[in-house]
Amino acid sequence: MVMRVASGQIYDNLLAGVRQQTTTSAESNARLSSGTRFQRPAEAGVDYRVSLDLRHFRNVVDGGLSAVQTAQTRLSISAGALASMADILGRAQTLAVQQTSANNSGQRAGAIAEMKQLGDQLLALANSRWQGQSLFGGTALDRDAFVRDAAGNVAYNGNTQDVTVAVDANTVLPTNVRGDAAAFGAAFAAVKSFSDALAANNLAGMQTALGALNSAGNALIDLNAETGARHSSLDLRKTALSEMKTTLEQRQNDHEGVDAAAEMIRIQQADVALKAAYSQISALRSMSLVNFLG
Amino acid sequence: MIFDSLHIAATSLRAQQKSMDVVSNNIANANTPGYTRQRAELAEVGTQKLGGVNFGRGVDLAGIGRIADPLIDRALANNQSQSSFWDTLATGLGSIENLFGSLNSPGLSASLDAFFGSWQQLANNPQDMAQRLNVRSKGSDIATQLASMSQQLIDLQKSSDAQIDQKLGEANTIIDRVAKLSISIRHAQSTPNRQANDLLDQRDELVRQLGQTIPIQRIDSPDGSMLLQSSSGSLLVQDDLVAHLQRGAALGNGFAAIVTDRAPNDPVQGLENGGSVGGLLALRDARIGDYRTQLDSLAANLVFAVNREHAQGSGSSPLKALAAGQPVANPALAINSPLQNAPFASKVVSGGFTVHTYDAAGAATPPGGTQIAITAGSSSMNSIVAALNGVPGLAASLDAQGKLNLAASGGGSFALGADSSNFLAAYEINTFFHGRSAASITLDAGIAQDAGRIATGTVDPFTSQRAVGDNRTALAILAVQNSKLSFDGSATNSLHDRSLNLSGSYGTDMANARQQQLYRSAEASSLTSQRDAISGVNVDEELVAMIKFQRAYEAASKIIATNNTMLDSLLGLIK
Repeated sequence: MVMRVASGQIYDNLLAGVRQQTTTSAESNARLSSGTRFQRPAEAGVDYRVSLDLRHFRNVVDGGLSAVQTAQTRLSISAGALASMADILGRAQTLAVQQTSANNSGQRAGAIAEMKQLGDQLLALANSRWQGQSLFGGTALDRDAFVRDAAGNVAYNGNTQDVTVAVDANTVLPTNVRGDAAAFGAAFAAVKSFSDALAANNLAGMQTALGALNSAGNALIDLNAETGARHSSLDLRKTALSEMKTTLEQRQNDHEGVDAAAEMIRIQQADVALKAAYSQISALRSMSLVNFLG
Repeated sequence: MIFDSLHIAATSLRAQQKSMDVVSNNIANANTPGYTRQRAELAEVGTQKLGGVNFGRGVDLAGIGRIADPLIDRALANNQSQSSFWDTLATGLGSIENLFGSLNSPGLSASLDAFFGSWQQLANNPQDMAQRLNVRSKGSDIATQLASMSQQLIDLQKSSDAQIDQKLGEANTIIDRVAKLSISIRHAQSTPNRQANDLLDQRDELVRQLGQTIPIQRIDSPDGSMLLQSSSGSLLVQDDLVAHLQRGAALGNGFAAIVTDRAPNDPVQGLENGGSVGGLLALRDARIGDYRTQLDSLAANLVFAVNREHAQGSGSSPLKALAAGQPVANPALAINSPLQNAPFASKVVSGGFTVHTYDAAGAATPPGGTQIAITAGSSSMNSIVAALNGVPGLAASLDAQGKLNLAASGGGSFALGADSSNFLAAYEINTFFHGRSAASITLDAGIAQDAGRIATGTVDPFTSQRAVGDNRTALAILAVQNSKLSFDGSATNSLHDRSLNLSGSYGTDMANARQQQLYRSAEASSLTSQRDAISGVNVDEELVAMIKFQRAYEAASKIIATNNTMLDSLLGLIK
C-alpha cells in the first residue's frame, strides 16, 4: 500500500532535516574549536566524571612532585651544611695531628685560636637556616637547633619531631636531618675535647681527641651519605611521579581529545545533507498540481 | 419525466457545490494544527418506483466525515505529553549546567582539589604564612561555592514551583474550554446526521494541549460527551462538570501539593509522570532535590571531618578568647542529647579533650594541660563549663545564645588538643568551618581575620609546647579528602567521590533527558507521519477532488441545459 503523504508533512520533514544538520554542524564545530570531545557534564555524563577523576589524580601527582621538590631542597641544603661540618672536623683532625707532633709545640696559640674559630663555625653550621627555618632542630624551626652554655658545651635545642612533607594523603616523608643524631653530639664533643686539651697543653688529651675527631668526622660523613641516599631515593620517587604525570596526561588526551578527522567528515556530511534539503525546499515550490492547472 | 431529470440534476448541483465547500475547507486548513481532513459523504437519494421500474432520484450530501484514527491520536497525545515532560526537564537541567562547571572552568571537584591541595602545601610548609593565607582563601572559595550552588538550586526549585502555578492556570483555562466545547458538541450532535467536526477538532487540539501540561486519561462517548481525568483518576472534566487544579497544603518538601477544587485535601497523584507540570515536578523534587541532598551531605561531611581535626589542632597565633559556633539548646541536658540543636551533637562520644594554658610569658601552666572528661549521655554543657573553670588561667561561660565562651585570664593564652569525644567539633569550638549544610557553611570568623588561627600542628601532650614546623593537623585534614566517611547518615564515601557523584548524577540525568527528548522526537515524527497519512490535507488530492466535483457540477448543468432544450422542443410542438 502506498503511503499517503500530506502536504505539510513534506515541509515538516525537510525542516526537521535542516534543523538536525544545522545542530550536527554546530556541535562538531564546537568540538573542533575546543579540541575536546566534550566540555560539560551534560555532554558526556560518565566521561566527564572520568575526566574529573583524571584531573584529580593529576593534581595529586603535581602536589607530590612539589612535595618531593621541597624535600630535596631541604635535604640538599642539609647535606651542604653537613659536608661543611665534616670539612671542619677534617681541619680539626689535621690540627690535632700537627699539635700532637713534638715539632709543632711552639704553635699552640695559633692552633687554639683556629680551633676557637672552627668551633664557632661548626655551631653556626649546625644552626644553619633555610628560609629562616632551622635546618637541624626538628619541627622547632623558629629557634636555633643548638645552644652553647657558658662552659662551652653545645646542647641540642630542637625537638624530636621530623619535618615532613606529604607526597599524597597517605605518604609522608621526613625531609630533615635532626640535630639529636649522634654525629652532631660527637662532633661538638670531639672539638671541645681537642680545644680543651690544646688549651691545657695536654698531649695525651690531644691524642685522645684526635681519635674522637676521626670518629665524629666519619659519623658526619656517614650522616651526609645517608642524606644523599635519601635525596637519591627521592629522585626515584620524582621519576615515578613524573612518569605517572605523563601517563595521566596521555590518558587525559586520549579520553578528552577530539577526533578531528571524524568531526570534519561529520561537518562535510551535514553540509551536503543541508544543501540537499535546501534544494528540495526550493524545488517544492514548483512541484504542485497548482503549477499545472490553467 | 423531464422534470424528474431537472430535479436530479439540481440535487447534483447542490451536492457537488457542498462537496466543493468541503474541498475548500480542507485546503484552507491545510496548515491548521490539529485539523482533521474532512470528506463529503455523498449518497444516492432513495429510488422511486414507476411502472415497475426503480428510478434514482439524485444525490444528496449525507454527511461530512472526519478522516481520523483514534488510536494514532491517542498515541500522539501520549507522545506529546512525554515530549513535553522531557523537554521541560531537559530545559530546566540545562539552566543549571553552569553549576557543575566545565573542563575549562573549575567546578566543585576542582575547588575541593584546590582546597585540599592548599592543605598539602601548608603541610609541607607549616611555618609559611603565605600558605596559611592560601588555605584561608581556598577554604573561603569552597564555602562560597557550596553556598552559591545551594542557592542556585533553591532558586531553580522556587522558579520551577512558580512555573507549575502558571501551568496549572493554563490547564484550568483549557479545562474550561473543553467543558464548553463538550456541551456544544453534544448539543450539535443531538441533531441526526450532524457531525460537529470543527468542534471535535478544536476539542481534540485542546485535549492534546492539556496532555502536554498534565498527564490525562480520556474516555469518549458516542454522543460527543467526554470524560477527562488525571492519570490517577481525579476528575477534571465531564460535560459541564469541571474540577480546577489548585495548590493545597504544604508537603514534606515544603512545596504546596496540587489538588482540585472538588477535593482540596487530596493531592492529585501521578502528575509527575508526564506533561510539563510533570517535568517541573521531576525537576523540582527528584533531580534538584537529589542534587541538594548530595550537596548538603558533601558539605556536612566536609565541615565535620575538617573541623574534627582542626578543633584539636593548634595554629601559630595563641588563643586568647574563643566562642563556640553552635549553641546548646539546654545546658542541663546531655550534650549529645537529640534535643540539642547542634547538627553534630549526636556525634559526641565518651572521651575527653585537653586544654593547655600558658601564662603571659608563654610558659605552660601546667605542662601537659588539663584533661576535660566527657561522658556521653551524662556530661552537660553546665558540667563542662564547671570543669573548664577549674582549669588554671581559663574562664568559661555560656552567652545569652547558649554558646560556650572561653577566655584566657591574666594575659595568658590557651590551646586545645587531643579531643577523643568530638565535643569540640560538634559545638564548633576552634573549628575551620561553621554550618551544617551547603547553604549554611562558612569560614570561621576568627580565621577570616587571622590566618595564624589555622591549625597546622598539635600541642605536645606532655610539654604543651607548640612546634612551628609541626604539620600533623594539616596532614590529618589532607587525609580527609580521600577518606571514606559519613557523619550524616548518608552512604559512606569520600568527599572526592561525593563531588564526582554529584557531577555524574547531573550528567547522567541530563544525558538521559536528552536521550528521551531524541527518542520522543523520533516517536513524534513517526506518529505525526502516521496521523498525517490519514488525517492530513494533501493539496494535490484536494485539487483533483475539486476538478472531479467541478466536472460533475458541469455535467449536471449540461443535463439541465439539455432538459431545457428538450422542454423548448416540447413547447415548440404546442405552438
